[in-house]
Amino acid sequence: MKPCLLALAAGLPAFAAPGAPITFNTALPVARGEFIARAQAISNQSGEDPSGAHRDRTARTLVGVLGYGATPRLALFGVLPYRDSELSLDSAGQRVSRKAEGWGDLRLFGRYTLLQRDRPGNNFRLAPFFGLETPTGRDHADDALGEVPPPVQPGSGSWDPFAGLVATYQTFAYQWDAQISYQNNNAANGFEAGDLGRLDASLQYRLLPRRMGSGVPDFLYGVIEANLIHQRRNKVGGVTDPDSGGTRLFLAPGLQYVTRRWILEAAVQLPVVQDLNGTALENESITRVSFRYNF
Amino acid sequence: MNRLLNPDLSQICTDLACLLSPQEIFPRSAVINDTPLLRGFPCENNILRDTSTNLWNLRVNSVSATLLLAVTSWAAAGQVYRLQVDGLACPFCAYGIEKQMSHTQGVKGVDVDLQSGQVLVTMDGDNRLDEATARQQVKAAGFTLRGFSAAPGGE
Repeated sequence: MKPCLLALAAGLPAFAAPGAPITFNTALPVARGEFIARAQAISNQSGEDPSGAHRDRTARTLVGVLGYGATPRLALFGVLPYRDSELSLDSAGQRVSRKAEGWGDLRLFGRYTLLQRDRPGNNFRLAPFFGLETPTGRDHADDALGEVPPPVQPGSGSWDPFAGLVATYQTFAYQWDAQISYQNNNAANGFEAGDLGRLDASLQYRLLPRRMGSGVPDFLYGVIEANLIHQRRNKVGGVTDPDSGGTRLFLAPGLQYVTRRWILEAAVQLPVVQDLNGTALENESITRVSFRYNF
Repeated sequence: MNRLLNPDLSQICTDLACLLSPQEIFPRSAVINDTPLLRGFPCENNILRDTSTNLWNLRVNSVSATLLLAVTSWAAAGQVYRLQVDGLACPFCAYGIEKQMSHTQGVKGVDVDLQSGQVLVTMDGDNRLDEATARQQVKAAGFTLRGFSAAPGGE
């Protein structure tokens, strides 16, 4: 699987906007002229290997996100990951480990709020988004054994457009978000990751304060999110890899602390369903901790 | 406010704030430098619940209230406007409104109350805010202006 898609499949932010989901981002408005910065640490552990090679993959990613409100309805975003991946497996009676780190592919995209409904104490937003994953990441990383395989490369080397639609409904007590998106992946370096489609949903429920006070109190949300991700098979040298792609469903409980200027949040994505093709490697868990700042 | 008062007056303000709500003390013009006058004072309602402390503070502040009001008059900013904003639903939303409004010409302070959706905008000196500008700034923040009025008794 294309390394950047591993992160995307794990929920790399498609949006960076104020408010809610942890495993994806929402259509909440970014004020005109306002910046939002987000730093996210993601640990993705895969290890359920049906192939018998005892593959074990660990990917640690630091993601920097910068969003800017160009107009009240149009927001522009950039997402830059730094990835450290390691893949271990049994080969010819030995344990072999491949490792690489470096900058991943820069994702650039815009979101336009098509529909906006504001009521006292609640709001609804519907926003399409369009973007491009650019081949800025390191895609020829090597180790002592030579160039590492695509799943370990920090970058993909290909230009990959994506698009989607996100909806948000927010009240004082709770918020829900839903997102549908599709990414068309292209070939580079003899490898083409399968296209990726995903459905995401998030529910945040205000735990604290129990009763709203005056002014602008801080909120503590309990969060539950779901990510349904389907990826088509990869192609290696133009030939379809039968042991790649498939469908995954994650559930992610988490907590989120929201203030006027910053948000601190954490969630663990747990695989509930993994209907993968052939001997594709299964996920064990994905842990996310992130911090957002509004300026 | 603390920057505007000497330490003694600041303490008087603190005492009085323990007895009265911000609205009671500063019915309008109560926002200085993007911060409500009473924000940060260590008052809360705990002292109100303590009868003996409450009475003591009442005696002290019956004298100091006059002083405080005089200082308040001196420090008071210009016209205050009350904006009713639809769509505000979380703390993060409030910052966008505060930032947009505070960038408006002549605005001295902005105070948001999430639950009521009310935004109090305090002008500097003789500056005025018109509804069209307020609507534009609220829209720029990503929300909708539903009501606009000058606070009663404004300059």
